[in-house]
Amino acid sequence: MGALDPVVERTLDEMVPPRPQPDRWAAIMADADVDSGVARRRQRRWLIGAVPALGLVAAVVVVAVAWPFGGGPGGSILERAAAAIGDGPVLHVVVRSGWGGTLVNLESGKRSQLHGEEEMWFDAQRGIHQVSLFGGVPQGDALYPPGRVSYLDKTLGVFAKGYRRALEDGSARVIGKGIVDNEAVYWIRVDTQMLPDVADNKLHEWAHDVAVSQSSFEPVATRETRDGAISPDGISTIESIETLPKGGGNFTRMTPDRNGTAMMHGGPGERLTPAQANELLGGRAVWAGASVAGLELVAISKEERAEGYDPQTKTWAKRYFSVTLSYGAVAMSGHSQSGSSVQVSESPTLDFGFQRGVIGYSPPEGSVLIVGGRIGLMQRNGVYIALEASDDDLLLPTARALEPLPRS
Amino acid sequence: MGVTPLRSRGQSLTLGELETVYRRDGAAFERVAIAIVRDEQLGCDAVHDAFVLAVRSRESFRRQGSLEAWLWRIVINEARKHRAHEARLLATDPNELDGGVTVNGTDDGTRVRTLVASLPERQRLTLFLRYYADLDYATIAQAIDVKPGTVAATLSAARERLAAQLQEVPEWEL
Repeated sequence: MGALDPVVERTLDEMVPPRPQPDRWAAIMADADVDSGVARRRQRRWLIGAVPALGLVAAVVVVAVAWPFGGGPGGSILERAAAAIGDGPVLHVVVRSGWGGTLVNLESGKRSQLHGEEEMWFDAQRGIHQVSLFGGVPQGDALYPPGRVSYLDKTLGVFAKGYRRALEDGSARVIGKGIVDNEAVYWIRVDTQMLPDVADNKLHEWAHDVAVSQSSFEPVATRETRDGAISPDGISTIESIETLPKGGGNFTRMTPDRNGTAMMHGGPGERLTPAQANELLGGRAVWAGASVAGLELVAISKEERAEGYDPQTKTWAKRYFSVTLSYGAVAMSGHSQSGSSVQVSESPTLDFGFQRGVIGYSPPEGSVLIVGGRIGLMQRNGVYIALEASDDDLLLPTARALEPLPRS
Repeated sequence: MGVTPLRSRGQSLTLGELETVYRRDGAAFERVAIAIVRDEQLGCDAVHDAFVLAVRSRESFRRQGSLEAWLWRIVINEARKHRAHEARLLATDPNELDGGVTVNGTDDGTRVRTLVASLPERQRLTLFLRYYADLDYATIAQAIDVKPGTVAATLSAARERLAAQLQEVPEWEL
């Protein structure tokens, strides 16, 4: 062959470095035996993982967990992992999402984290139904026809298109041990691909891993890695996974599709007196006093919302309203707000337009859900409350100060 | 890379012959397969599966060509199948695994990878067989089912294409 450019030669060697002669003839002979092919084939794939080249880290980890590769009572790790999720045609997965909020007990100050959930049913014949949940309330869902797995969130996509198949066809491999939520796990690499990153215009190795419990072999977490480093999204915890019989699962949309639905949001609108605000809210309005955290109550206003405009009748299908109490700086029309402030919005309904942070969920009275640091959601005196603060340290004092608004 | 002497026609391919080629050239098979599928695990799997297939179907080898070329055809086919399977797994067009990647990086290696990936499949495959496996033109020709002259022309075209595209970027000059 004529001389190649040295850069090309060097790159070809980097792409696929020289390798030692393989020594798996015995495994090939075993796999050529149809009767015992499957089990031995999987065992062979464990051994491949020990061959250094793909990644030094992976190889080191593989060596560290080399002892279980030969399987044992009950089968190999991959076989047990495959058995743990069953063999039904419908896959049902619930994954704990990274997004969510902090629930604070207003009396004790005790904090707890509430996470969103992603629930998915996958059926090769019927497609995919994915639902986002918070506090058990659907936030939104989507139905994908068969073959549209690529639209899915990557974490769920791993299960829909890769995990079970990779376990069954033997392409999955164990890359190491770990601890997830205090549970000892094996990490299984489900897929790997080289993709360019527009940020640096270089190819990177992207991989999807699933952690299975070392005791039950059920999946407990997933992660995506780039060049061996875990993605900023972190590790997604699997809350449950199962397979269902044919026809099982939920493939019916659970939330309204708002595509094309007209929405109207007017406000802050007319100024209200405390008496008017109370009257609007049926005597249930609350306030944080004449001032809170050093911020004076500067305005009470009415906001109106509507959805579902009918151009024929020129009417809205649904109309809602809320009352907002503004403390501290208030944005002037046409100008952005400056200075510290807290807004207390109160609504008799938990309608879509009133929602902040999450949809259709409000914690029980006596607690506040803090979302994104500066939004607080709660109930008080029978109305739904949304707090929006310029500083996160204003939320709790305001939430704790809320009390029925004097009628005069 | 050595060549296994042809036995007289009509004699069945023995397991010993296959084992000899595997132990002697296995690394080259794996290197080319990895280059085709762009994944070490899948490449090794492709070679493994190719030899399983060869063992099972050894009776079909008619000794009308070299054993090496016959095995290379099987390995290449298995590698392509693994690549297509991977593409389906990733919901990706198999061709995108080859030439669909567009990278305009400043790193020489990245650009060369992109250029190699953008070569027509025959040029790329011929390049892999020649560079990674050090096959002669005759064996490459049998492996990819073209005439030996075509191999030379294909390699020349690949080399010229890479050289021309490298020269288009002044900072790549060594």
